[in-house]
Amino acid sequence: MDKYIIVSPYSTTVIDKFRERQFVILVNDFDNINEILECVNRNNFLVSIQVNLNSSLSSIDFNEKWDNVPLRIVVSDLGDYLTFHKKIDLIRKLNILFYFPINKIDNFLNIQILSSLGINCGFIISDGQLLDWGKLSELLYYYMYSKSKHSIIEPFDYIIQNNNKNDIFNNFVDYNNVYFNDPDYYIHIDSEQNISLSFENSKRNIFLDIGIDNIDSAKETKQYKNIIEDRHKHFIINHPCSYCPGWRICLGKFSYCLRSSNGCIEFFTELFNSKYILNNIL
Amino acid sequence: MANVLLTEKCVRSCPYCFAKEYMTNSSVEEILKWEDLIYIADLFESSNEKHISLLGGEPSLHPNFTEFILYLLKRNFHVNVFTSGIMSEKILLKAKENLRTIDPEQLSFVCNINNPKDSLKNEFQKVKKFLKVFNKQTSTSFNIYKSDFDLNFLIDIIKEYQLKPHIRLGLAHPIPGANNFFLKINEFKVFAKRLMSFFNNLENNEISIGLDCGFVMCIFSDTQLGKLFKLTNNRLGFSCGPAIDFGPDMSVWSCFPLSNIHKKSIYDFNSLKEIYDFYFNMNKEIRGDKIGILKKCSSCSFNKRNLCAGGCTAHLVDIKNFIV
Repeated sequence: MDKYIIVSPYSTTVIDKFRERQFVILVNDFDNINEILECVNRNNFLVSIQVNLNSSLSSIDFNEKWDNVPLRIVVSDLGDYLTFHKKIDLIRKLNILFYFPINKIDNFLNIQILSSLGINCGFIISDGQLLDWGKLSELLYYYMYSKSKHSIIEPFDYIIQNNNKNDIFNNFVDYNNVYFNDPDYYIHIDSEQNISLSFENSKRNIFLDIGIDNIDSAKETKQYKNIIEDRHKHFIINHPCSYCPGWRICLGKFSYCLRSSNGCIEFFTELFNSKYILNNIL
Repeated sequence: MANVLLTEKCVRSCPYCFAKEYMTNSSVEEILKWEDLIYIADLFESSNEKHISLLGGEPSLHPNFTEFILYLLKRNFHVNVFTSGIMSEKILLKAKENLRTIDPEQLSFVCNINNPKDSLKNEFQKVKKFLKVFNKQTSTSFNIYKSDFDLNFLIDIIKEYQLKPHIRLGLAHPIPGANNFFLKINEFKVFAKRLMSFFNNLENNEISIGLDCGFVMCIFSDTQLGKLFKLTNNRLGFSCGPAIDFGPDMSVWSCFPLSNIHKKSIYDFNSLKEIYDFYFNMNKEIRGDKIGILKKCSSCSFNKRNLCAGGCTAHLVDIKNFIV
């Protein structure tokens, strides 16, 4: 199997323990961006630096020295358009993908503005969030059917691009991959060298007991098997998710929403159909 | 070049207003949404149209007026704004800070100026402030609705504020079903003579003019046409065709005088060409066997050779037949 990609905070201790590994580094500011690039690439490979901010995109002081750094920046919103506008040319030169939480309704529009301006972006769904499926559908229609070229919107792009073209109906995709949160590809190591399979497990102190030298054996652990079993639990109890075509994309992540509406079924079925159309007809 | 209405609110109440009928039938609260601007920009881009004209009402009354312009410029459109130039201090300051230094090749304003004698003093003071800020990007526009009009005041303004030396001349057209001021057909000859009386002043100041749609060739003598050829920088035309206007509610129509006829939704079309073709055919249908606004249009060789459309279709419309 391919080696896990390591997701960790910026810790030279952790980074220096590995050789020829791929790293995603998590930070909360831009203080050490170029230093991180240099440190990781010394013996390993930097996949991305994810900067988690609680502030607006327009408030970021972008630096042209970041041009070689793959950045994922989580912002609260776009902020002042006029301030943002002055930074567009520099942003376009950098390798950045912006994530917006869609618990703020304005961020649906902000994503569309950025994408239409040629800036890669995406949305983040908070745990347990009740979603505006109508707004999400509008964004999907924009992503799929807009008349003009625009930049990627994650996780739509990942969902559409990643599939087994020979067997789309029996193939599923975990879009958490774009958030570095897919237990098949990413493993999380915190600054105390605790190992886990997801951000959620890390937060809940659910760690793997395999040691930092054995991270590639994570798929043999009970926790990993639990995650895989969890994906299939809906089929065992004959849950509505078990006969929803959209399950191949959502993997039942929104089963909690079904108590209030069928919005997730309609949305993910539409997304699945769009994926089918794009990959088999176009 | 199609026109996009940002808002239906206007700060003036011009007697000739050819948008009046449209405005009356619309909600003044309607403003173009960001999502819809993106849709329109996508439609233009996919139709290979790189020019967008913004108008209103008064487009600067849109709360995102400056943002919309900057957005379109960043998408490599050339933006042309039709404005009265009447703006609040706050709007003008915001526009000044963000738009003043933009290359006039990318952003231009067409300021529609009424004769100060016919305007409120306060109104003209505001126009002057606008012209002072945006002089390098601005040319003027003047709508003719009576035959004793004056252009000398406009020439003085162009010189004083060093504006682009060009005047767009619009004819106020009748709005089927409405009562607006417009130039009657029997006043056309007088109008032509009056227009040519400004020839020397325009030529001496190297100011060109552009005739908007609806003028008729034969109201000018051959000598006058020769002078007009020079004044219009060899862009003399006597057309009447779809202008294509998009409303803030994403409706689309041929032009303001025909705004209450065959209004459609932008979503009914896949490209600007489809829209243009639809309204081109609609104009032909409206005209039917009426070639032009004058009796002699039916036997006019210039009409047959497409050198003159025979005036504005709005003169020919029996509104009862076409309101839908």
